[in-house]
Amino acid sequence: MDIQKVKKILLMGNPNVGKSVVFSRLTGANVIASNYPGSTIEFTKGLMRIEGSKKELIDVPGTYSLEPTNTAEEVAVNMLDEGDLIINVIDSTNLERNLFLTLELLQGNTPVVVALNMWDEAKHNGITINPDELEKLLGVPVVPIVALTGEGIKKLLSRLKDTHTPTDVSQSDAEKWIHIGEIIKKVQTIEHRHHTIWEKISDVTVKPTTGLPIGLGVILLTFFFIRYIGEGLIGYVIEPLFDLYTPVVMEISRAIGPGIFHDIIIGRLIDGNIDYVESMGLLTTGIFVPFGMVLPYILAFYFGLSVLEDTGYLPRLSVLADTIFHKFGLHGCGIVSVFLGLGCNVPGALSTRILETRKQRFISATLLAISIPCMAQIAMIFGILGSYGIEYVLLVFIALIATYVSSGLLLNRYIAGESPELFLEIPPYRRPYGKALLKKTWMRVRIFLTEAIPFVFLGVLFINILYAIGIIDTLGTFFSPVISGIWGLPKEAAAALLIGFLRKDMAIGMLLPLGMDPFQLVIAATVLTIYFPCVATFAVLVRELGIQDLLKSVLLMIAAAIIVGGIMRLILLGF
Amino acid sequence: MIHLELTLTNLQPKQKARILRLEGGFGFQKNVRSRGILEGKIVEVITRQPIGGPIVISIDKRNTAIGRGMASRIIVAVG
Ligand SMILES: Nc1nc2c(ncn2[C@@H]2O[C@H](COP(=O)(O)OP(=O)(O)OP(=O)(O)O)[C@@H](O)[C@H]2O)c(=O)[nH]1
Ligand SMILES: [Mg+2]
Repeated sequence: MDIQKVKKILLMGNPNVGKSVVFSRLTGANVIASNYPGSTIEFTKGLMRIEGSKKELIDVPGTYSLEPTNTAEEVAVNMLDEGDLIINVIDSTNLERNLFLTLELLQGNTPVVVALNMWDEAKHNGITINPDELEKLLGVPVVPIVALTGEGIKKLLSRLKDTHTPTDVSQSDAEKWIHIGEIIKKVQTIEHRHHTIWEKISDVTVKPTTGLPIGLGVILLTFFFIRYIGEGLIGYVIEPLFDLYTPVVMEISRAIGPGIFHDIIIGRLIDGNIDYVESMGLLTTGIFVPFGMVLPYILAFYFGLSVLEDTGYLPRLSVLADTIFHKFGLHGCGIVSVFLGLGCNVPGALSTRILETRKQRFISATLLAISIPCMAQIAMIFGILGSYGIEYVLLVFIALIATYVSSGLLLNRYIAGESPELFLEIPPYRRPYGKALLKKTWMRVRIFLTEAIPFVFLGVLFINILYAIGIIDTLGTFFSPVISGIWGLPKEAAAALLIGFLRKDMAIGMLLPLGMDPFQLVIAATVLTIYFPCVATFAVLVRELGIQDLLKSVLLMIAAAIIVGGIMRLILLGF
Repeated sequence: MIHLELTLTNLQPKQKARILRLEGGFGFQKNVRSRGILEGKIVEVITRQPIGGPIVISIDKRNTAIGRGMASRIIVAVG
């Protein structure tokens, strides 16, 4: 075919076959690749060059067939008409199953080229495939590749032009499977291999008797790792840096002199000094909250998450958690949204697309918005409450877990719809590559830096303006029946609730100057998590749930905040 | 030869069987087959999660977790 006429190339294939790694390799743009099915839930476009001309390459969510079973697969199938050419990425260690989608694609009218990925793993597992024979049988180019190392990628590109619009074959599904059986017999030989140590570990980590304690251990270990690294970075890197920075800011402060301009740039001095949490200036709080308090934990969290993702541990956790999540109307895959959501609620909300029904997606997204604090917020909770003792931090988490569980039980009961069972492929354990881990961590940290910091700055500006025009007082008085009456907090907390729409981390910081006791801080931090998602998450929820379901979801959030905050007040503060 | 016809849910961990047929609607069958769970394949149960939780099976060295309702519509033969 004439490769010059090709404008858009699609990467299609089963989930977890390496499409996203191929995409990063061909475009140089980075997308998240993880060792579990359903890591890509949106299409991503990138640019590549073939024989001097620019092409658009599109990374598509994985799908087992052209009959979608969830929203992510729907995205994949809907992309089909967009492409002028399809690179069908196949997992060579799993050829038979992968060929079903290939035959379905060959029934369409877009030219296909087959990339036999994971060629290294196939060799390692004693699987031999004859690509030339497969090419003859399929009638389209077949090229073995190793996406991780780039082996075979050049060859793949050079073969794109050798494909053609498929000739019209109509095969029933049954005929396809028979056809696949014949193909497999001719092209594949498998040498018997004994169980490897990784296969044994795989069994141990998914059996309930051993898997559950291991799972608990992994979660605790991850938690302590994040805390240890986060605190270490703050103590040994961040604080020394800010010690150098402080005299500079003080100099600027003197140069500006008092006035509204000073309030916005430097903020209020407290006893003549800068207080990085309370001052509320762009150059003080605006810099310190994201870089000094949140970034260290974000770094540690995303590194830990990447390890869990790339080894392939998450799907095992999904299996172990399945029974519990069914009680909430979800299934085991719901835990993926929780993990991603603990980093940032935005990808957490997007990941609900791997769930099959509207009921599941609604519950999963609502529970996420209600009771999963993002890492930025968690870091601030540690920063603010940690100094009173870790038990106060623990109280917040216990309240949130209790909220998650009880809301889940209720939603499962009252939301109409189906909650299908878990049906999940468990990929083999893979050794995470150091470079890939660091790259992935950096990608996510960069998203935090580029998307969070403007909002923090906006928040600082906003709060200064609000204070200047005196609206906070009015708002506080208006909402005081709830804020003071029900939650037992000072009415000035209204300012934090307002800023919480923009950035929850900053909102937590704003609780500090209010002179609350630690129990009040616990209540305020919990309520700040529950009452409403931040604007970035809200925007995603609009798209994923639709206006009507979102309104329902928001009412639930507000109700949950009032009830949970009220109960906590009764328990912690009394009347 | 005596064939004992069972469903996947009847198998105990470490037990192996051959898949005979799938029962259920077109969509269910297609979904199951497209994951490599095919008639004629040898399936081994790795573990069964407690309290009606999913069953983890292995086919061609690939593990899949499948809910019991679905598993009960997969008919297998042992021995
Ligand atoms: N050994 C080996 N591993 C690979 C290769 N290509 C990809 N992987 C790994 O396979 C896993 C899945 O890769 P992804 O690129 O996320 O797969 P995907 O097809 O985009 O998956 P979905 O987005 O879930 O559909 C990752 O852990 C990769 O590191 C390869 O050629 N060899
Ligand atoms: Mg992907």
